[in-house]
Amino acid sequence: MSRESPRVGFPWMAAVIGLGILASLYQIFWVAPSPWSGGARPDYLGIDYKIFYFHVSTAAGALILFFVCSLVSIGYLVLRRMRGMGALALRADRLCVAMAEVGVVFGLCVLISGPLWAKPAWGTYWTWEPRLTMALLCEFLFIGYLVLRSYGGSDEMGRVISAGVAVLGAPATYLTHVAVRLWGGNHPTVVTEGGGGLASPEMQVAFALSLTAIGLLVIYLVHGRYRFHTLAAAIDDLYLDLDDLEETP
Amino acid sequence: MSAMGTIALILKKDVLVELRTREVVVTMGLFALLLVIVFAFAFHVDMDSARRVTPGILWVVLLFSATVGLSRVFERERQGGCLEVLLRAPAGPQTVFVAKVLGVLLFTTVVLVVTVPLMLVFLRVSIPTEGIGLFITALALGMYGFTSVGTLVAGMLSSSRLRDVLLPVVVYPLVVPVVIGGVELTHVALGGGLPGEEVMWLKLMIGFDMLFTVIPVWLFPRVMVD
Repeated sequence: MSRESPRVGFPWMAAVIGLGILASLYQIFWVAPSPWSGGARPDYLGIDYKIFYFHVSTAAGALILFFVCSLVSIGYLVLRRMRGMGALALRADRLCVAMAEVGVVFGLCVLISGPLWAKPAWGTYWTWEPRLTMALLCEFLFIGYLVLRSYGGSDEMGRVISAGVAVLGAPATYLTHVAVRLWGGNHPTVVTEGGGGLASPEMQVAFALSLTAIGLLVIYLVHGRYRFHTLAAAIDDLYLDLDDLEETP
Repeated sequence: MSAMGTIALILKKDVLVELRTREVVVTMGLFALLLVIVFAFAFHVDMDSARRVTPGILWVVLLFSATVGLSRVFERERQGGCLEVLLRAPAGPQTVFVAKVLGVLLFTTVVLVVTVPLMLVFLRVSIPTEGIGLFITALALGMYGFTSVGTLVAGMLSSSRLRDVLLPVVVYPLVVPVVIGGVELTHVALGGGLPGEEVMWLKLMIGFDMLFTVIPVWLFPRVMVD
């Protein structure tokens, strides 16, 4: 097996992302108005509303990561059987782990920022609303995936088993996306129908900025974790080579 | 040999082994009854609360006891070392999957026929005559969905060292939709819920069952055979 050379990451990306997050914070807190116009404003549409921008961005990030992780897992299971595709399959597998790891972290961010915003807006931290239920299930499923990665064996069989679990995540992720339209509930449909109260252009700019910053952060983190797993695999190979060398007289 | 022949053979073998040992049906049934007793005390079931907590208790008991059965699905083959050979049978790995699902369904049905009436007696609930059809439909749809997902995951995990611990960790998040649907349908069957509510939950369960009929056909051979 040919070793992949560990490429240097792109540290300038970190600076760009940092600036992007600062810019979106500025736009969110200083420029974008409240979605409430005229009359006495309810408390929850004041400063509380600002959490919306990062809540939706991280939710989109987590869902896309979970979904792509499922698709790439399908790719891994297919490539694994094809002649000469072994190295590519291993890369796909490492990409899956990286995406699941970052997805679980972003999912946690969503499940923390959501209740914080739900308490003032809906009057409760948690309700068994369709999208909340499905999002929680997705999170648990991919935590299960990571548990399986850690304790289920790191050999080929372990990779295949966890890829199988990730494939099962695809319908759950898709259902989380369409849950609001299928079964109703309290969530607005932001992506397809422009809901969520993004009335003014300043707010749309703030949303676009936070979406871009979080999107870049997702790519940066996944790339970092992917590099980490590539290096870890290379070190494992070196240890195996070392064992071979010691055994030869 | 045809696919149907292979399925029938594997099923026949599992039923024969079960008839001689009775290990799955007896342990599942006993476990289910003990769970009912624990829940009956844990929720302090009286005449008032019985109708409200029965659907929940029933489905949690089904979920837990079916897990006991699922952890044994591939165990005999794995220990005997013949799972790989069985999967390479000319009729294809899918036949093994179908036979195993049918076997688990058969054993679960036997357990349910005995334990569900006993559960209802212990919880002091009776099903209204017009709700019996819906009740049985909910049980059938729920058990099929759970068995299909559970057999797939049990198969995947059969080569893993921590399979018994990991099985519920992976299966439960996947089957929660079907459990929610089952609880709501049971609630309607017992005379609660809104009129017309059952259509939505039936659709959810049928959709889930169809999805997890199709996925294993593709996934099972790919995760089981090297």
